[in-house]
Amino acid sequence: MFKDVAFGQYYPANSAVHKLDSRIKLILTLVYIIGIFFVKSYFGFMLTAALLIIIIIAAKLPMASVLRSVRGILLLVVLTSIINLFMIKDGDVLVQWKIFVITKNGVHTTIKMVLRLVLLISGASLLALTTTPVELADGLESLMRPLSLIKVPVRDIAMIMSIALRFIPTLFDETNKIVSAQKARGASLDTGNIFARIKALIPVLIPLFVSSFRRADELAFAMDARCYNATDKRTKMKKPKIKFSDVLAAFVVLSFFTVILLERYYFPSVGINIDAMIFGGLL
Amino acid sequence: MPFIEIKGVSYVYPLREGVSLKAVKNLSLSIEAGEFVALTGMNGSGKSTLAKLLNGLFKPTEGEILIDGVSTANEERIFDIRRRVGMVFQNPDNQTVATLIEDDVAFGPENLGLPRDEIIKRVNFALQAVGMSEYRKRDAAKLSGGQKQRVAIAGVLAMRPDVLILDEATSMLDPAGREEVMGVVRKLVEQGITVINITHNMEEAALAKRVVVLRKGRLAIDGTPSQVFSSSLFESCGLTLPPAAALAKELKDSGIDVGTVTTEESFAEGICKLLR
Ligand SMILES: Nc1ncnc2c1ncn2[C@@H]1O[C@H](COP(=O)(O)OP(=O)(O)OP(=O)(O)O)[C@@H](O)[C@H]1O
Ligand SMILES: [Mg+2]
Repeated sequence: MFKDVAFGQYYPANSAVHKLDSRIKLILTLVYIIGIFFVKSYFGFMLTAALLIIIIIAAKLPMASVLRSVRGILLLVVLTSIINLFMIKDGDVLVQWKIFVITKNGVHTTIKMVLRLVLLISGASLLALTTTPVELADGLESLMRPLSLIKVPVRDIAMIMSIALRFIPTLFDETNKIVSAQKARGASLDTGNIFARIKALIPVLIPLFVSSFRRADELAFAMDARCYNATDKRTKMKKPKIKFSDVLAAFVVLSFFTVILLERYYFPSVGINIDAMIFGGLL
Repeated sequence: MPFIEIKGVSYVYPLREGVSLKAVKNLSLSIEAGEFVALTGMNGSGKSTLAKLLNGLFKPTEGEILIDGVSTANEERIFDIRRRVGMVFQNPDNQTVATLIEDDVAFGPENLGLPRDEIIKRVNFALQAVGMSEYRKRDAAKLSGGQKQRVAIAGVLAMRPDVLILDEATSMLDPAGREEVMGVVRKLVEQGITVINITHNMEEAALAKRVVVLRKGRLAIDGTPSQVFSSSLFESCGLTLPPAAALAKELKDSGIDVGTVTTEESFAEGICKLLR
């Protein structure tokens, strides 16, 4: 039953974004995240949100799937907003009660921080939603390859990642079997208080560990038998190819990044004016 | 010179300080290129240990194993030996390294550092040979047992081996899966690959041209299936005859001689001859 569950957040869909090269996606996600930290004005945040919405539509993702990942950081957002709101004391005072002061400046900083966090998490989740774990591992390996010059065992790390991913469904199946076997012997795994339940997990975890070690042992023999480590120049059957859509995606995200930088450092008045135009007296 | 030469080989598992277990004892055996051999014997008789000795996963504690004249103890040639002597293990789930079938088959050739075109050619060839071409983009975890083992065989074939060792590769399969895998094996034997099939199933052993029986790490019986099944040592090795041979033996004891029987086919032939 676990076999068909897409672990991680991957949302399968047949879209151009899903088909992008995973290395490009990793790099562009990084560029996007860095870009967010340069955004200063509401205008900049609107640009970012627009980019995000375009990507979500192109990726054929339901909004809910992206919002779900934002829900995960809701508590963090609420807590940091409260702290921010009361910690910033400079600027025009809006409300004052005993030692608690809320200033105009504090409100703006807080709103911007919330926007920044939400846009950041949504952007990062787009990567996880549109890229399978295996593609991510391959992409990371490819990007980390230069590190092998300084003796980082990139190839082995990548192999460990991909084998770990490959064994997740197998171990899920195994866990199900052990649970059934222990239930057949009268174990009750889902009753009692939290301590009873944790204790009930022991007879599941121990056989799972034992069998995992046995599997690891057999797998090591099977890999050796198939000449793993025969040469330092291991080749790959699949060569990722940069497609036109990859170039296009890079162009879009890099343009976004450039606009953000220009707006912040060369034309700050643009953001200020547009913000004033939209929000008028609220600012 | 035989392709595989096992000369006075012993293998000792070191267990703890001062305690060890001799799993293979002074074994000598040779196998010619192109032979189809079944290797059998009770649990713990040393079959898997011998298999791992043959492709250099283990080094003999005593004696020597030569593969086409090269010792498995020769570290410089070890990967060449592993490439030439491919191995398929019992549990299909524990020998698949990749999620996608074609990626798994490519694992061996990738390890050998072959050029991309060559890898693709070999993966196509190997999947074709086991009849799994149309599944190449599928998830390996979602295949049947027989299909998984055929993919495992393809993974070995993609390295262009001379010898294929199957270590109880059919023991976790249902009869249909067993049939599938043995069908592939028979085809490979016809193409001239040397096959060593380790099995507890005597019907399967009877399909080979030669059966080698181990007992407590020593060579006990070596001969054609009919020689082995009629050997006086047969039962002392903890083995039982396949149903057809057992029935023929019963008949012979009650005065009906159907001739030498190893498989159901040879039994049917014997009966036909009697009726004529
Ligand atoms: N890794 C190991 N460490 C220690 N002893 C081992 C190890 N593997 C096998 N043995 C022992 O070596 C002997 C031969 O084992 P081997 O696995 O070769 O037998 P087998 O004929 O393949 O048996 P089976 O039919 O059960 O697969 C057995 O007594 C076994 O307990
Ligand atoms: Mg064994």
